[in-house]
Amino acid sequence: MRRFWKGILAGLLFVFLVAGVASTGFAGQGKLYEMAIFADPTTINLYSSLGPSATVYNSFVSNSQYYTSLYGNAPPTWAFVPSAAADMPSPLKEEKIGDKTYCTSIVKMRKDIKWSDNTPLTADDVVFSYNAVLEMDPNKLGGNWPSIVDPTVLERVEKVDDYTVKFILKEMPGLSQWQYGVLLNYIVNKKYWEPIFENAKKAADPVKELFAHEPEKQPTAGPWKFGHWEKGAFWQNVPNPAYSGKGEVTTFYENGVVTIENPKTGFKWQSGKPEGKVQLKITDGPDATGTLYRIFQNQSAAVLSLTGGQVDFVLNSLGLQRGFQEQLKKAPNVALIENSVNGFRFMSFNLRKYPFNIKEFRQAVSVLIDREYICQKVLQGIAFPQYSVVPPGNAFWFNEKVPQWGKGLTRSQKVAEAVKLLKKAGFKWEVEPEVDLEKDKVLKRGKGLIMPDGKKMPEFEFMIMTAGYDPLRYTFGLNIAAWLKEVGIPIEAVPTEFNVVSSRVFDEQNFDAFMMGWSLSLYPDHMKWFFHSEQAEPGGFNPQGYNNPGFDKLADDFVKEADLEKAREKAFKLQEILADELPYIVLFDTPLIEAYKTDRVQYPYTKVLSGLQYVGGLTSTVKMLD
Amino acid sequence: MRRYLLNRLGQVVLTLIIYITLVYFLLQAMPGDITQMYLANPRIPQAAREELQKQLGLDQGVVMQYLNYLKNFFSGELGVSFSHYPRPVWDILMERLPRTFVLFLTAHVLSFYLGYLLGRIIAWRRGKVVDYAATVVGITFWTAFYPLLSLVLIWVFAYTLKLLPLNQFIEPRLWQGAPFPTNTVFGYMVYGGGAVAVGLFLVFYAFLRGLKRSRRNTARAWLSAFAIIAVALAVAWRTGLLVYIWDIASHMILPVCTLTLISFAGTMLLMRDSMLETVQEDYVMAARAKGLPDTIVRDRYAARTAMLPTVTSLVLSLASSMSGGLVTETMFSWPGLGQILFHSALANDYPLATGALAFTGVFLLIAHFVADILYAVLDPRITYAGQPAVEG
Repeated sequence: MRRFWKGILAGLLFVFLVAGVASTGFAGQGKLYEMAIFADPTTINLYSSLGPSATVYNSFVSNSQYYTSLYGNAPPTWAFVPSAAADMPSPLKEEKIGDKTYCTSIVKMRKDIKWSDNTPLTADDVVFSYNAVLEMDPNKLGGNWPSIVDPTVLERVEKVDDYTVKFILKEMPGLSQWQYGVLLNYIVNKKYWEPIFENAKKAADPVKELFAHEPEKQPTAGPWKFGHWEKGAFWQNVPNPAYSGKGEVTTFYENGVVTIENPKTGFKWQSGKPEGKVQLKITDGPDATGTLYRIFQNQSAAVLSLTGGQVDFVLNSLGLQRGFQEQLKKAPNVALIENSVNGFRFMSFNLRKYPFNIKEFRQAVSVLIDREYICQKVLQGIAFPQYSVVPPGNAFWFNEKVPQWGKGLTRSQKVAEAVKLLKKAGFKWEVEPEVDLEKDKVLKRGKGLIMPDGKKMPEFEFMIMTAGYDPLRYTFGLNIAAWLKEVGIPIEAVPTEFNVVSSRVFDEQNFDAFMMGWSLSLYPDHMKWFFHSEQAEPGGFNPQGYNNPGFDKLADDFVKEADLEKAREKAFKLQEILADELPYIVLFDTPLIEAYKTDRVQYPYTKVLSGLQYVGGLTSTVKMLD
Repeated sequence: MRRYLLNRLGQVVLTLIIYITLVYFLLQAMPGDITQMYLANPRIPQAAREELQKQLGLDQGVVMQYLNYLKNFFSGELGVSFSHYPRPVWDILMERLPRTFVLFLTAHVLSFYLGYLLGRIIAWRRGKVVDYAATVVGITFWTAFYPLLSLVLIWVFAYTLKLLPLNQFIEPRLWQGAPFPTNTVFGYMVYGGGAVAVGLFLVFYAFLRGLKRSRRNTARAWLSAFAIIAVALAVAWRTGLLVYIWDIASHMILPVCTLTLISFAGTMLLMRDSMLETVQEDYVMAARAKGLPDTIVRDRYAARTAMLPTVTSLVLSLASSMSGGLVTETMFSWPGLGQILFHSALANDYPLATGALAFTGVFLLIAHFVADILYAVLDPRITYAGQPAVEG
């Protein structure tokens, strides 16, 4: 017996000793930039990566690291700037080609951009990158392809000379389809991809064949190229030795002007006349000798690895859980970053049903919801109240003058205001709610709400997320139900699984009220998608059935608008209509929390909409500290 | 016996069909499908969603999809994963299987061995301090909240003491330029480990079986065992595998220890109860009366019969180890079949989820079958021939 325990003890000691020796010596060495991610990317293949298997991790490790596009949005201001293009596209003009009239634009390209095999990136590559996708059919490629290479807009791209291309468009595109769509497509190497496409076209299922290709050795034009992928463990990128952006300086001025200067190749560009102070100057690298994405399955492991020095940054589109904040505040050489996000969580009614289609009813509901109370008192500041369908963080497009229903009112004032709005629409009560405004008390709860048609309002179902899926929406949902019941609105909050909510709302349109959330793109064309009546069919994005011909027309004009200032005016007007009619009652969102090692990395900036994860951890501009 | 085996085989096939049917329709009953992810991006037109439904065969009726699936399943084709399109399900399962197999097999065997050993001892010393101590310790771990225990062990041994690697199943820096993919190394670990285990079994069987046990034979057995292990290590070192095997092994220590701690008590208590019944048997009393040493009576007479229920439990747990364990895999960042099953179910990836469950189901059914046969081998009183075995 004694021998047995001695044996066990000796074995364990041996194992710990040797394992200890083996496990040390790998933490945070050299200039390798190490990040924690939480799932495997699904593919190396760009076409599959932006197709049905698209995940944010694909974008983190490959898409944004390997490829360039003609234009891009320069963080942190997200100004529209040229990348592989030498200047802005020529103004769109109508042109007769053959027997048809098209809309065309010329783009001149930079001559200093090279692929990692040291060959130049030319118009042939650009033309191939667009036309090959069109030929394959973006709808069949699926995922993001139809929105990037939009076949309803783009006819084809033609080569004018080695460094000039001509875009031929079926119709005059709006900003969302042009600057924020077609022009952002990634450029691939024609020499490498052309045979792959030709081969795929001969297969029984061309898309499947194309997606199955693993382009480990493809030339890239971004700062990195593929190194190694051990599924479930890590993804490694190595520097692109021919990266032409190395040393390139992007400067942001006080008046919003952006300049780009490459001292090595002599390339220069500026968006206007720089005035005022330089707000930010970013020099492209990469300074790191490689990027290593360690794949963890839980945040605790990633946080321990961060504080233990194994990783320099935790790269997660959802940020870090609030619970880790206190732990990380105390950790040496760890800095926390908090950024607002481009999204919102909201509640909505089925506007096809009575009385949800009464505007005053929705306004009363919005008034009754005390967003500030839940965010600050109940959720202790982990969420922030929101009122508009364009988040304030998206400063250029946000209209700060839209009404914010109920903001700043006390509980009793809210009840009184809601009663006023409901009465205005013709609602009555069996027992009308009563309040004492001076003592801020609800003296009598409302009972038996009578609708304007004289019938008693039946109980309706409000689908909220389960506590396990999203505790914040769950908490909000329960509080909303309690406040609405106080004035006699017969609501029943039902925690429901996300898939069920999604299916009942979008596919079946069989619901009374629901709560959901959206992540948005910078260009606020979501206002058209979410509220245009053409999206009210099953499977569309307007499941609530909002129908306002005036809004539809303005939304159509907005997405077709090619002038930035005019588009902004229309966006403001759309926000005003939505804030008055409330097809969505916007509730809140959460800030994104991230953490990095201050003794290992230095970022050119940390304040940016949606955090450093949105810019892929700044792999090419981060400075590695010795 | 043959008739019995054929009969059982028929039952296995029938059960498998029922199981796959249930799994298939249960997964299909989940609301929505994978194309719902397109709902997250309003810029993606409905046409793209319809194309994807067509591509994945979701535009067909559920019954037609099921019949196709069944036909493909029995011809060894598990289909293509929706969430890793167009990777075959089989590829994904085979990628994850070695990791799951090595980790959970090691943990189950270790846990079984520890439980068997301790159960045997505490039953023999019933009512003594060792009985109470082992039972209390075992039950404490058995009832511990597993994720918390994992976190505590990680925090103590990996984060604070830095004795063991912190999470993941390999050290990426070591593997950046590795000449082998991890699955090759896992493969060598399975085959090499299996060969070494068989070698060790044969050595101990040859030298220490029955009444051959003597000081000289014991020394010979241990020397041979060390020689086998030394040869295996030398081969691994010469082929350049040793450092990678060691890396994986060192990453296995924490999850294996946690799994062992949490589960050994089950086998231990089962073995204890079984032993307590067996030691009352006449043949054990007879062995004692013959004057045989206590350890011989305990290990050769009582323990062999008492281990029957634990063997069933072991075989079934080995089969279920193929499905991995979601909590273990998540807590230790060990990407195995459990994770695949969980994520595929969440993503409405029916082929992958069904494939993973069918795969586990096949192993469990085979394990049941093997357990039935093992019973007959281990206990001569059990027969499947249709007539009672000769007693005496």
